[in-house]
Amino acid sequence: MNDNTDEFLKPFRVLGVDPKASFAEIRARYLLLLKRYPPERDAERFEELQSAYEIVSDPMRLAKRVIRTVAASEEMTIESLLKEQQDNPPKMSAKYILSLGNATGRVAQQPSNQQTNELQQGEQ
Amino acid sequence: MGQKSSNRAEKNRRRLEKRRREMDRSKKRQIQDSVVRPELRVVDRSPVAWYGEMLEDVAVFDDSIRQTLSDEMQSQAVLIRQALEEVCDRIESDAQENLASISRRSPYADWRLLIRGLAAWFNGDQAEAQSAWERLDPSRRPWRIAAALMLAKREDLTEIKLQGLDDVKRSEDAWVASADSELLATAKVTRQVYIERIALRAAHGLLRITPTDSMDHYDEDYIDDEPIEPEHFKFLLEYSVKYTPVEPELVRALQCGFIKLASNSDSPDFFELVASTLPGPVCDPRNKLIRFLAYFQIDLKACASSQREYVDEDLLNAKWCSDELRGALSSMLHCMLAAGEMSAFNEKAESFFERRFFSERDRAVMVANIKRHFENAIKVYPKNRDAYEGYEALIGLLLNFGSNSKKKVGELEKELAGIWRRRLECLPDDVEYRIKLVEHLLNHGDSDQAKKHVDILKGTRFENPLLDCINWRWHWLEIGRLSEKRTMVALAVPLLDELEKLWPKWLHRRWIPYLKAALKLRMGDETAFENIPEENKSKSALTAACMQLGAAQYLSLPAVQLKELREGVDVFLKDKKAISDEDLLSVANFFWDLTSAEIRYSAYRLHAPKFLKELNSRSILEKRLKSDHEHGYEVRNALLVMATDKIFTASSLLRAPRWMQQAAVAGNTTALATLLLAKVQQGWSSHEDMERAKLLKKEVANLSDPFYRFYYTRIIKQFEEAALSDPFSNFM
Repeated sequence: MNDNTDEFLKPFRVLGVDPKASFAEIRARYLLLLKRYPPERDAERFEELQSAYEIVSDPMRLAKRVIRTVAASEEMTIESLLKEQQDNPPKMSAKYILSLGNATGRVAQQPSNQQTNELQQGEQ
Repeated sequence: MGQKSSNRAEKNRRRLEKRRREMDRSKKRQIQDSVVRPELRVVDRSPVAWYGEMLEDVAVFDDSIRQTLSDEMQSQAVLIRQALEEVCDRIESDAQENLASISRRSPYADWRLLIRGLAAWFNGDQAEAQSAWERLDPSRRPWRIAAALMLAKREDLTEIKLQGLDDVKRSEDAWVASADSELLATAKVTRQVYIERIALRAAHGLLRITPTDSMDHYDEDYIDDEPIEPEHFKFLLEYSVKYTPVEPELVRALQCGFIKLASNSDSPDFFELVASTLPGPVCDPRNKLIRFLAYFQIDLKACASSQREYVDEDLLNAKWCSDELRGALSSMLHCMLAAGEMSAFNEKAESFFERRFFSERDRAVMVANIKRHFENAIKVYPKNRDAYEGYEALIGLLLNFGSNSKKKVGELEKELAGIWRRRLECLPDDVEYRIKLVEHLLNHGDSDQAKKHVDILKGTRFENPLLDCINWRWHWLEIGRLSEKRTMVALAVPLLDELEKLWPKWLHRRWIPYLKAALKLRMGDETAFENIPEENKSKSALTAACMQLGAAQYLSLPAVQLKELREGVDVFLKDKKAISDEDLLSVANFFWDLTSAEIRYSAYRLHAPKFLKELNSRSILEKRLKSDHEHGYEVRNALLVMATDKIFTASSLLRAPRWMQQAAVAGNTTALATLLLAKVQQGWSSHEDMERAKLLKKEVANLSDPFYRFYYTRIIKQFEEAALSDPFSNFM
């Protein structure tokens, strides 16, 4: 999901688990990550993982997150909405990143195996 | 004639010039109003292989080419693609870790470097990105990607011109030196879209729209500081069409934000228009949930309909929603509906006028509706604590509403116990509710059921010392219950022995001999109190008299015997001045035992405050405060029970002795705790009290006695809660 309106699912992303994963899968993944990031090695990451796990393992807390995502605060204004987006840098998709490497100045066609072989033979 | 014609020519020239300027301005406006330039439509960009590009590089984005590679290369290509996507999505996964399996000699080594640098680039660490990318092969795609990104970060990007071959050697920046025109253009687009954020700049046009107050507001007197109006909505719709190809996430976020703003507006029609036009966020694609939230205070029917559609349709097939989450969300919404109806019930019940027209039938219908919501909330997600607490609050409301018959009270209390029971079935660790259930069962004579729960609690360790001795408490209550009937009192004997064994460490044992004697007296031994061994008797006659009376009342001795014992205490009441300081201090300590363990006998109120007031008039407390630790903390115990019984309060004002206030300033823990406890009883606080609370918090950390560590922490918490609810408090 590349839509930043799914911010409520961030704890799942932090843990790298599917939102529909079973509790056993989530716990196994959490313990694996704790071994990878013990507090003495990376205290900030450890806390982030703990916090994510507490949310993900409690459907009521997650439900409250969903409600908070949808509900409007009294203080919300157009200005605050734009300011919030200012602090939210855009994501670049993998597709876009890969397209940065295009070189249409060279002939843009799919190289065939034969052409590639000829090139490789030439180099040899 | 010549002059006139030249003037006319001049006029025509000026007129033509003016028209040309107007046409130029019009063209410029058209450009600004036109659709965004094609190169900025980043969503349309795709990777395209160039002639002669390495197959391994193409395989990263072209599956048909990937399938022509060897198995090993295919798996590496897949790894690279996965890791790339996850870095872009900022997801933590194993894919990036698995890149370590790609050797330095592999064609994908360059891609591994690219991804490492990409993670750093996203985190704003240019130096790290540079370090990863400077080893890339300039003839390949990873290098081009890296170059575009590094160039995009340059603020002087628009000024960079392509350098000729002669300049290559002189150039300090390899990215610039090796860039071609296409790379430069790509970098410029990337900078405009992702770094300068032209889409966000354009969105600021929303702020330049002047409200015309064209909406029909629900409330005639509605005044809004910053209204949103149809003009804003029109702008947003046009903006969405133009900028979705440029920064789609921003557009979505603004749309979702706008729906929220519309839900806050005072026009239901406008909100409905917005909600039915714009798609909602991932968790509420058809805006059903936000409709529920917007309407739940004003139209419960519309709410219920939105709730059904959201839970039974939207959530059912949502990829992000597990069955548990769906249950939890549904349960929350049921609780909110219940809360809405309870609020309406409360309003009618509390209003002097409305109460008169609030018929029994209407009440019953409302209560049935509220219960139905709570029942539904529990059914769809039995672990929702809010549902049980809300249900409990409803029963509490009904217990306090109007005048209930004894039978009705009994029914409601039984219903309450049933709620606790159901809660404990799904949430067995909610100890507080198990304790409530135990007390209820004991109070209603169901000690067998109570014992089952006590046995469950036995293995639990509590920070709260009062909870830690729950088994002792069960025995205490059971002995009291058995003593009520002469025929059952013998059964209390072994329980009293057990009670002695379970006696809490923090509770003085002085009363035990008197309890045992009272039980014997209850069973017919008239000389039981006289036969208490000397070493077990209290040295204070006053204390002994109070302990005898207290024990006798607890064990339900007959009125005749109680009268005699009461007279034994009254003797002291008639001449309080004759009581020695030591006797008063001793009885105050006994009263503290009862208070701290929450086992006061019924006659306590009649004499205890009088003895404590007399003690307050003596100087022994001031004299012994500093050396209290040498005397078993008798002064502390006396002061705490005096504070609990409001001895230091008169006409809602604190009347603590000056010496105590001075001791508190000096940091004496007992004085601090006593004054704060007195304030908790009083109900309002001052700046001085807050300073005392802070001081006490520091001192509590150094206490070695776990009971007082807990007790003082509780006082601080009670004080802070009382201060927070005090509208005149300066508490922050």
